[in-house]
Amino acid sequence: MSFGRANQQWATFSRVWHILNADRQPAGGIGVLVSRYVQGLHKPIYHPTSDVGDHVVVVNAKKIAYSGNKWEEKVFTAHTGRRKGRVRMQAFKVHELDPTWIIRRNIYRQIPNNLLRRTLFQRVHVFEDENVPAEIIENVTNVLIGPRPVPKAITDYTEEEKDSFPKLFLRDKYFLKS
Amino acid sequence: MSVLGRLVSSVCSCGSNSGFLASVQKSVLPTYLTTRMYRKIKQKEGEKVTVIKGEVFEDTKNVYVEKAVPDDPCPLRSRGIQITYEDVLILQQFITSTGEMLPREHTNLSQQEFFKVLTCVKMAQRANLLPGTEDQTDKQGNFVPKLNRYLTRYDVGSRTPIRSRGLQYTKRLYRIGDRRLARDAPRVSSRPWSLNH
Repeated sequence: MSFGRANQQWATFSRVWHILNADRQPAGGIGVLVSRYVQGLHKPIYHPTSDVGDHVVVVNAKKIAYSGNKWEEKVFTAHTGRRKGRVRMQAFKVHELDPTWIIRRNIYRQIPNNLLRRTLFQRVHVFEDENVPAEIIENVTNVLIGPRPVPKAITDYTEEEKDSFPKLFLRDKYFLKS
Repeated sequence: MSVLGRLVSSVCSCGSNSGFLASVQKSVLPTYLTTRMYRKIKQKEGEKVTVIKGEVFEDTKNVYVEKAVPDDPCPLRSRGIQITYEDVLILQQFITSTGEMLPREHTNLSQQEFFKVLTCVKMAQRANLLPGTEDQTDKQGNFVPKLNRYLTRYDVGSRTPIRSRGLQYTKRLYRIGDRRLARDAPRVSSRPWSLNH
């Protein structure tokens, strides 16, 4: 197929819109992945001053997962600058107030600390639900896979798979099936 | 002993449910169908009379795997199986439908394996992979919302917040998973499990 030189140039430098489902994914891993795509590090034509980054839409931000007991143990701190202005909040309370705050903070801190950071951060769109406005969804063309392979729950297996799985011990004769 | 070693190496090469089945069936252990008669309680409520029956039915779909070490009563140790919290099809056999553990007299688990299965079941319940939940309350009695989590070793409301984590060389780390499971669990790569974040 014939590709004119101008069309080839436009195709290589075009800005692509990606979408990522944050359901049961770790917050830190999402920050690493999204910052990579927003800077353009996944492209062979990458250069920091060439503006080759893409847009990323993050969906289901309120269903994020933390390993261990971090929802209770992890504490976010801030200071207003005034006296007695130190604010300390546990992770689940912060998530209650603003479900998108944790993801946005992680992504912002993974982008390198230079003058390009704020413009690149404007190309990250985070939503707590799957309700995304139509003007954003119609641009999306690629789906990103999350960093964590989500394990299957017992309800996701079919009855045939459950029955055909081998048993490790035979139950008592008077066993009551509940 | 050499049989166990071979089994462990063949089983440890795969980490998921389907992989375990494939490797075990091909290598050593034969499988055969067994039929067992179980009992079920059925209750019928009429206008003036309620009938409670104990019905006997035949369970023909049981696929049972023979043991490599027949003298060993423990079902996991005799077959050289090491589990993780994701092996839901194996863990479901050791719990009731509400999510409580079956006693050791029924299942013949050894003490070490019993505690491994118990921690795996609790971690899977907190990750919403198995049925059965616990009260989501803090130490002060405040309500903790139900959020997605995985590899939670400790009870949901039992940990206090870590306000100051310390300097780089004496940092207080978050604890994830269980040390005994990480020592024995199957892993493809040689990189060890990360237990402290």
